[in-house]
Amino acid sequence: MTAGTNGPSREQKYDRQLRLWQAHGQKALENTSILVVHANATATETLKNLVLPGIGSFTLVDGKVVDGADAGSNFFLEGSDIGRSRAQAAAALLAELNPDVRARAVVADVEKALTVSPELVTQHNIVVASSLPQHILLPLAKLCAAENIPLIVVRAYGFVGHLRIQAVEHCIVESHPDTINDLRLDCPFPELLAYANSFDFHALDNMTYAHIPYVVILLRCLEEWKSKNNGALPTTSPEKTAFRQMVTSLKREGVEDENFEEALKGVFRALQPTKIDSKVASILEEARTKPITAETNNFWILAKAVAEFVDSENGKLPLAGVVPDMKSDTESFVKLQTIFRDKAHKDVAKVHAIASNLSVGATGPSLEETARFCKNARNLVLIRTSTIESEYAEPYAGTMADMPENNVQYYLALRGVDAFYEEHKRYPGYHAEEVESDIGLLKKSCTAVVTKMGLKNVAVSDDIIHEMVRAGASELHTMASFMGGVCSQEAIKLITGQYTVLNNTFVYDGMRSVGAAHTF
Amino acid sequence: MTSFPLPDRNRDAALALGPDKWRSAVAKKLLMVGAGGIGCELLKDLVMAGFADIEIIDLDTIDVSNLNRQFLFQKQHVKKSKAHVAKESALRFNPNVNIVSHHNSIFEDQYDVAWFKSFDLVLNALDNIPARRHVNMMCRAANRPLIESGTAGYLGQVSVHLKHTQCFDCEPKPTPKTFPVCTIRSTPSTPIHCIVWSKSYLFNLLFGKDEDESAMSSSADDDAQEIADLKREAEELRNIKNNSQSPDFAKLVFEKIFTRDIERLLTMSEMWSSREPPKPLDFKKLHSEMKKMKPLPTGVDRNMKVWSLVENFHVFTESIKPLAQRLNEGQAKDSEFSMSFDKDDDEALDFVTAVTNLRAHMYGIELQSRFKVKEMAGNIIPAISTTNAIIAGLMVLQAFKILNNQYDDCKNTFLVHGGQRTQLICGEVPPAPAKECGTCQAGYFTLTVDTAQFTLSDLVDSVLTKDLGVDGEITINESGRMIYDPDFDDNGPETFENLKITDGKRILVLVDNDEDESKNHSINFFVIHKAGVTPYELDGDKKIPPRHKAKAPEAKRLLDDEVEVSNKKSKGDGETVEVLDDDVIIL
Ligand SMILES: [Zn+2]
Repeated sequence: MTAGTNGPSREQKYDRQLRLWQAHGQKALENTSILVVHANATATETLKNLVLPGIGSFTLVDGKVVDGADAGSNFFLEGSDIGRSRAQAAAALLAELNPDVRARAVVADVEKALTVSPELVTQHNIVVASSLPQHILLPLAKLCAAENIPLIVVRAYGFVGHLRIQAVEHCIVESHPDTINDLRLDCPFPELLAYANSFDFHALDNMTYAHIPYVVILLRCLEEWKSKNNGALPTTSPEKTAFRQMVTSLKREGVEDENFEEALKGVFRALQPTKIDSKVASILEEARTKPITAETNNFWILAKAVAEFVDSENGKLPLAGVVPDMKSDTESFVKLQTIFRDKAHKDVAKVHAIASNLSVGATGPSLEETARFCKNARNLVLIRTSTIESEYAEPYAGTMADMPENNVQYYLALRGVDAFYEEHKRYPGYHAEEVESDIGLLKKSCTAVVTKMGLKNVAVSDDIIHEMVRAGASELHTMASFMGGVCSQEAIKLITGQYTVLNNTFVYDGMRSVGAAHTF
Repeated sequence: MTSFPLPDRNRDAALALGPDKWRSAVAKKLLMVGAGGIGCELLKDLVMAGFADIEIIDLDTIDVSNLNRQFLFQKQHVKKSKAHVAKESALRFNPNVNIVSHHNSIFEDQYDVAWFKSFDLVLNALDNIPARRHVNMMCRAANRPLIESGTAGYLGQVSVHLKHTQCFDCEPKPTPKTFPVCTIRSTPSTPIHCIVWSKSYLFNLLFGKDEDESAMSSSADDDAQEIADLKREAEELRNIKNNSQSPDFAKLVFEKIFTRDIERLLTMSEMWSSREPPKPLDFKKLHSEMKKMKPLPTGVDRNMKVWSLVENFHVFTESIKPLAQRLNEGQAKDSEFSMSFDKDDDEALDFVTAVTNLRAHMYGIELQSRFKVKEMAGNIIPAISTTNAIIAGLMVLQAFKILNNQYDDCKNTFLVHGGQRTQLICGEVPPAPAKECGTCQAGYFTLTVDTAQFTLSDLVDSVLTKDLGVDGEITINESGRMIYDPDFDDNGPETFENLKITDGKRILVLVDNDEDESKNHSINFFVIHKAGVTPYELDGDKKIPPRHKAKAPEAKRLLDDEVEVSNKKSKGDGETVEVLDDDVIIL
């Protein structure tokens, strides 16, 4: 019961994060094995943030040996590591952070390792690659896309941060909207309506009257309105005003009216017809025609089951079963909660039965998973990022006008740096004596990138070219740590399937403290 | 680990920033307040950036639940000082930096204005509002820049507080939530009411100093008779507490709080005319049911599953024993010994969970898992390493700007969820100070006097009136006690020493001028005692900004369609999240 004798339990150690992503999120994390390409500072900082919360295992691939600059910019390499394998030295220090995590170092030239043994990639669930030259990155990205393994490309270059997520298909059940609103006041289910009708407003004493839940007040008013208006809800502005007056007219003289004020505040929401959001509808549409095979993941099985449920339930999704806090006496509130919960349970049972029938071979989604899916059905998110291959296709079909000018320039400058590397087999400004000559060369590379992409009215300014050359491929630890934080944060969202991940590019201008996102 | 310093250890940092800017920045002396989640990241980032002169202060010791993110700490460090261990761990990675650690409270008098002045920049990585406000005030007094930080789950923020920008106090902070006494004591209706009762009332009465009233507020609405009854009930419980060595202690407490007190409450029929009355519990009945009970689940389930009534009864009787024993053992050594609720104390949490649920059961309130009770009782905000890493990185980026005097380039930065808000990181120029802020729109002075000689009249006549030229009605406070106002000048001839205004104390002077608002001022004096000083030495900026009266809060508007829509729109990029580091204690 108490800590100490057998060391801290995982539960104690992970207490805080369990409150964020719950036990099923932790399980997903512990079942994940990640491949990290390059043991530079950005990559090791990323790994640190995944090892601490207990990712299942990691493989770190790097063929280089530690030099002085590595030890200076990488917290997970020490002076005494100079001359050792970067992958081994960093993996050892990272493994020390958490004995629950299995660590593996692959000491090999990255390009060779990836071409010779693609299973190095495919035996992992997620890949993080930092500062990979283009000719290695593109085949890796292609492989990940083909295998539907999420890939995060991350880099800290001087004061610039860049992150790109490639997830061919990422399904999010728990997108965590600010609130879940599913009260069905416009189309109450029979149990809810019966409960609302059980209140005899005239007979209630003042105290009870002040505690009628606002949901009941609105339901009764809506029923009355509908009976006078051929079943239609108030839609126009004058109708809404008249409806509000109807609610107000029920206030009792001299009786506390907090519940009526809540009802008036709730009118706007109550009059929004319960319908399926177009994004969710298109997910269900896709699920309807999707054949279920042994490989189909539970998201699609459940989506298909919910689609069938919707068809059999007059176009209504399973009830979320959540009642917001409101002015009420405990008894009525608990009763209301029970009515919503019971109906939600019924809906879950139906969906679960359909899903079990749909599942091929294996047992299919558990009741718990089904319940989670139903509760979040109105907030499902499906992300299909473009491929990195298409980002490099020429010309680029879109614009980048949604990003601040400087961030666009930094993105292009990084592309220019990569093109420079492909041509000269070194990074601009890496050797102090070549700084001056590299400025002109990088400028040429950047211009070539802009031209090939076919971007109009964009050029990388001389200031930014100078800045990039001056940075000399340096990895500022602060930026590496920051970008490692961003990268691991997105990795956790991808792994747990909770919260919406970035789609798909993030560029941070550390000089001006301006971040920007763009969808390629 | 011995070959430092590497010739090119900071090559990358110097390259990226430019060698001159880098050198001038890292030569500065920094104070880091807090060595928790953000603090560990921050210290690592600072040391790696090349900063070599850092002081850390933290009052806390290391807990197991810190280990999932506070990576400078390991299992063997549990219960040790965060500040000391953080220093040791950072030195392992770079022994050539000078780190001074203080395992102490930042509120201590020794951390005075002069001490704050010895730093070029202060970085807050704190978990509570009072400490953050205190550091903010000291930074204003010492005229030092401050970088503030906070995280909650995936959200976080970094703000920069300079002389010409908002201070931490400019934006009003949410006041701690309190509940009416009668709701907590007689008519709970939600789980949190039961939790407050268990941890703030019962736990403190039985094992602590006494009832913790901070979470409860009395109001005129509360029935005077009821309050008197509640006082008597508490007195009875104190008597039972004296029997804590009795083998029947659990039964005595149980029958008092779950049977007799509830039966008394039921006699107040008025109270239950519109409420479902509670149902008292029966010790004997539960005790016999307990004998047939299956063993309580272990491991994760024990924490996550909601216990049944009899299981709660079982945990109640099991946890009260060791708590009582600890109290008795403690008091045997020190008669003043007492315990306070600690969410990380397993037995205390078991007790509070069981009591919460037994009480909830009587009132027909939903029972809670131990995991959930811990979260609510401990006001836990989830903390993870990813967010801390992002926030600490952003702090150091701002630090470089401040230390190179690039004040116009500073930004307040916010980490948002993604999803609808795709930017992840949003920045804004630090806003101008709020005119009515009592902290930054104020004068700050150090006043060196011989406290045995210097009188309150000397302060009023010589310092305030002659030297600073204030013109208006003067009110003087020290540590919340009023020692002088226009209608109370009896203390005038008294020396500081007699008034207990000693070395290290802070005096707050308010000047009110009805005719000319620009002559209203808040003036702080930090007193330094030096024997023989005549008459006084005053150090500080004599140009004191006027203190504007706080604006009346805007009338609450009813939400209508239009407002609802516009509210949604405003939830855009600049949205601020007021969040704190790690475990937060507000209720
Ligand atoms: Zn202020």
